[in-house]
Amino acid sequence: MKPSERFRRRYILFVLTCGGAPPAHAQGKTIIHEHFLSFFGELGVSTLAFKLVKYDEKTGRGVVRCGREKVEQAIFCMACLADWKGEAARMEPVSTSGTISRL
Amino acid sequence: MYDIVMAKGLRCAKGIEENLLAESLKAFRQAKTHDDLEPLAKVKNVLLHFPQYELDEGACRQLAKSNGCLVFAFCDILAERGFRRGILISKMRLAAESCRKAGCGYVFCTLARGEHELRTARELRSFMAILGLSQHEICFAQEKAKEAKK
Repeated sequence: MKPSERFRRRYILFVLTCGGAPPAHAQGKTIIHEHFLSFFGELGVSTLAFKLVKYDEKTGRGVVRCGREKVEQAIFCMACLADWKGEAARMEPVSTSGTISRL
Repeated sequence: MYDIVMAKGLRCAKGIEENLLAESLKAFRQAKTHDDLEPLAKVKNVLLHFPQYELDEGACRQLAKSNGCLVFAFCDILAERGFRRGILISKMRLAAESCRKAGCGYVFCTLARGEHELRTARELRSFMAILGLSQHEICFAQEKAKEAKK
């Protein structure tokens, strides 16, 4: 696909905590995927062009991708995460950029 | 950006200059039922919080006359789940539209009762954008929050 034909993306750097500490890789991935899925639904996640690009379990920092027009919706979704299976959880957006290197 | 909170001693989230305690704001009022709306909307410069967000045009016009503002609280969204959360966001969107038509003010805050309910300025701006506010209206809402401090 030519670069001009690709959809425009935005990458959001976030910090994830669950029960006061960053969750393990598998749990973190589950939390993020299930939260976005329950918030947007299957069609919404597809429209959002959502992808968990990377997640570091030591610091709790990760990067998600979304479409350029859907940044506000993605950040709002992150803000709506308050708890996960009885434990207090938080997904705080740190910064947004068009490239991963500039985050 | 300023935030209005319900609990004392909370730290300021990223991008928030100061947390204003709701009970220390003279004009802050909470309406529990529809019957409370009209009399509270008549209070001059009121900051009215109605957790159901089911405002009719009469209440909005009354708010506009008394130079009051409707308070949109993020903690109300956190308190709901699933379908009910979706319905609440829709009601908030309609309430924001009613405020826009009637010409009354609006303030967006967390009304946090604990550290876990605090949100950053970026998240509050995304909250406003989700409810359909333009960039100009977002700035207007932030100005109204600043005026609440005085």
